[in-house]
Amino acid sequence: MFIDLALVVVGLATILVTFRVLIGPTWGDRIMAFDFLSVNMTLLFVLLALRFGYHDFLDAALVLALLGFLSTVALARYMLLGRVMK
Amino acid sequence: MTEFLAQRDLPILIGAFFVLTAAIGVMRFPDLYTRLHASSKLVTLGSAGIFVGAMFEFASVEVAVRLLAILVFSFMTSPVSGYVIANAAYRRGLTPKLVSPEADEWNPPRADEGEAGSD
Repeated sequence: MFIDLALVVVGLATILVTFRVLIGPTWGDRIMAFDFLSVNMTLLFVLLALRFGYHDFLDAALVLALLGFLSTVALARYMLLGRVMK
Repeated sequence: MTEFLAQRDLPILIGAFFVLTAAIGVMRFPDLYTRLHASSKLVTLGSAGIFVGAMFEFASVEVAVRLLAILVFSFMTSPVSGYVIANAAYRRGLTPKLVSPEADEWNPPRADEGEAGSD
């Protein structure tokens, strides 16, 4: 029962942060909210793996954590320098 | 009360509470830097709670290793991403709202006047 409640709470946090992605006044706000959203998706995958007992979601959560960090760094670098790589 | 505290998935509930607190902070705070403060610290704490609760819940080694990998990676990368975003916004010339300009310690080169970085 607690896992269902945690799924609802994390889903509510995801909806709130999606609004910040949409209305964020600067690009920094959007990148920050996008990073939050990727971590939130990782948490949702872990909670879904707990809820349904489906262990392959944990590998998906690991890949999503890696790609979320890389995309955050790439977006911030693009905002700062105007390019991603050298 | 004691059987409520003896629940095995209480860390999951604590972690979900901290994640919701971080989301409310991201929605309500006035500035990019304060929002970054809320998101980077509280999300790390909340995800640690959820991962530790999931480790208790599954109670198998192969799942615990994956969850520990995600937890250690999250603890390593969350401060780095927060620093990178704040550094990029500050060097683009976004001034903090809660600090007077005289207290600005680094005095970075401003890109242009006004709120740079806005679209």
